[in-house]
Amino acid sequence: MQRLERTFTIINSLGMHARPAAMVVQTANRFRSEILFEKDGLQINAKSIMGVLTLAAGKGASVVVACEGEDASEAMAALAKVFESGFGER
Amino acid sequence: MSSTTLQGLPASPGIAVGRCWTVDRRRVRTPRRNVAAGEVEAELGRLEAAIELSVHQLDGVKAKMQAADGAEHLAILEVHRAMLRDPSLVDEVRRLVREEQVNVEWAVKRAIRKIKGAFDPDDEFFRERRSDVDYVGERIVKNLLGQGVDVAETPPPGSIVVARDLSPADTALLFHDRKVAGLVTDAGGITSHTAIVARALEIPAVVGAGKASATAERGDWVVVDGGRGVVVVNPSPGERADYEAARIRQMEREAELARLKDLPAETVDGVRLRMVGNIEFGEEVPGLLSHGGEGVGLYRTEFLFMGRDELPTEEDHYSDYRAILEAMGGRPVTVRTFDLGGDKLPSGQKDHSENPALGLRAVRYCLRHPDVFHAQLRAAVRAAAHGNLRLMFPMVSGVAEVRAAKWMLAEAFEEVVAQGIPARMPPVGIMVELPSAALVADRLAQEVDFLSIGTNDLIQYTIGVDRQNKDVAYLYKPLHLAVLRMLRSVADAARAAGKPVSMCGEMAGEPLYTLVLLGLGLDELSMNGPSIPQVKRVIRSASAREGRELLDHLLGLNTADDIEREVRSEMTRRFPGLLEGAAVVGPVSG
Repeated sequence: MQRLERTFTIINSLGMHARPAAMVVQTANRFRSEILFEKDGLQINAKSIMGVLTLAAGKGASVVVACEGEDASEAMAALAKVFESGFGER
Repeated sequence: MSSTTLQGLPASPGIAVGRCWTVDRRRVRTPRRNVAAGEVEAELGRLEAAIELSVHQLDGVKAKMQAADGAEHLAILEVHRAMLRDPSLVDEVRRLVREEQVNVEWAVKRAIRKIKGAFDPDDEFFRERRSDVDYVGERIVKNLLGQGVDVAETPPPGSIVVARDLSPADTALLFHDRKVAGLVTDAGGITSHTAIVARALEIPAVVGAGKASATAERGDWVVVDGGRGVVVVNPSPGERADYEAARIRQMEREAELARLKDLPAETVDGVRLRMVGNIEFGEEVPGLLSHGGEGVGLYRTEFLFMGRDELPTEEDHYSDYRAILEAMGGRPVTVRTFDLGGDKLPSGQKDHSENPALGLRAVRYCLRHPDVFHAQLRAAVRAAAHGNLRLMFPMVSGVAEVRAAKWMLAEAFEEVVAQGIPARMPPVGIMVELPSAALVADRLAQEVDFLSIGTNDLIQYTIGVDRQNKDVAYLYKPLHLAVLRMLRSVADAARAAGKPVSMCGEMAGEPLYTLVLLGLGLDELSMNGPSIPQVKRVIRSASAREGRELLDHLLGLNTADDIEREVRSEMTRRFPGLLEGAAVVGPVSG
């Protein structure tokens, strides 16, 4: 069991709107680890689209990602790819 | 059968005449019953089955859609699919069934209500997400009750779809083969998913039409006038023929407007205006060019700030400006420095003073926060080396502010040059949007290279009326005598100083006012891209002399209503068809 934590900045111009939120949740759900996002003191379950949407993270916002579980490092690597690609948007 | 006319919101322009195809979207009635302790597990099994079925249904909808239906459309279905399996929904339903021993339908209803509570109903983004949650809950409940969820039949080609509201799945199923002629919903706003899809597919649509679905029956004739937000149910044969003729005229007009794209905006007596666009994002450039935009008259840089916690850096600005300059290929791009203040600030810096409209905004804010302004000015002079950039300061109230802002610009320029970074000093202009600036426009014109009149604010500040306040909004009159006098004095002052003057408020893009604006002798009109062809059409068939005569005549009248009536009748006489079907749809956010 390991716990990893990293901070990502939202870089696409529209922020984490509906489409990126669905993308992030799909990615998180591929792993068994518990995955939490935190922004401005609000902590949510990354496997919940409702939770991710309530973050309303816009461009420039910082999101702290915490993964805990046997596949935590794989989960973190997959999420890093999604955040760093700007959710495939500009 | 007498005809019924309903007024709704203009969601997607165009006229459609066809037979009504009603889609029954009555809200489901959720039964409540208690579940015995021994039945709880069986009840939870029903939940699993209903979710499985719901996922399967949405996959079926997605499979029918074409890639051309747009990524946003598919994304919404993906969001719904993710919501179906969301732990905050599923776990809460399970908890309610176990602990309170209620049936799954009732538990779903309760859980949905709880989730919606976390979404701020005053925020447009969350309002749409609330309706997404509703559609998902409704789908599960209908599946539990064995009721049909999605539209099962395809409407005959040329139908007008009439519904209480439409889920994104319904919208996908109804429109994917592009055979529906028009759309009317009782509920919804112009930024709802349905409205966005209708615009993308260019289907005339009216939303928020009240009781349309209760008024029209399947097979009734229905007229949809999407530009004006009007729906006519059971039109008389005469009305139907009129709208049919209007529809054909509109199609001809569109073809004519497309032909206008590459022709100059020149009056019959040889006065040439530059037609440019107002933009907020670089993504709008291709649309602007496709409508014949000759430049950007107003790039609203404050949108770089929206929805973020930190200030944009110099590099953020620079890369944005440079991308737009390059996309515009040497055409002029007028960058307006931050029009920030009031509620348009990064979180944590919001102005909570009682009267933000008269507070620390725009150039006032920039002069107070030199670090913020400096980064933007450095980015502007750097970007200017890569294209035809012009810089414009908003909310200037007098000469001292212009001098202070120009001094900071010069400082930024010298600093960048001293660092050996390529830079160019751009032409500098100001927005004339305060009565004070309008009254000293002659002096301001001596300080700058160009003036640009921002009519929205100028009208509000001149008449002293907040357009968003519905109690006084009726006083907002672009043709108020005070506004006309002010516009004329600004235009005259600029001309006397030999400086070009443009207009970038909504007034510039409204063809009703084009002849009046010709009378003012403006050099440039800046508007949303889709308005350019209509305005150009008026310019090309009028003369500046006639504009001046009309303006002189109007300045002799007394009330705004008299002036507007005169303009309206003059424009209707000279340009029959100009004022019908003119779509007024604001920018759409994703």
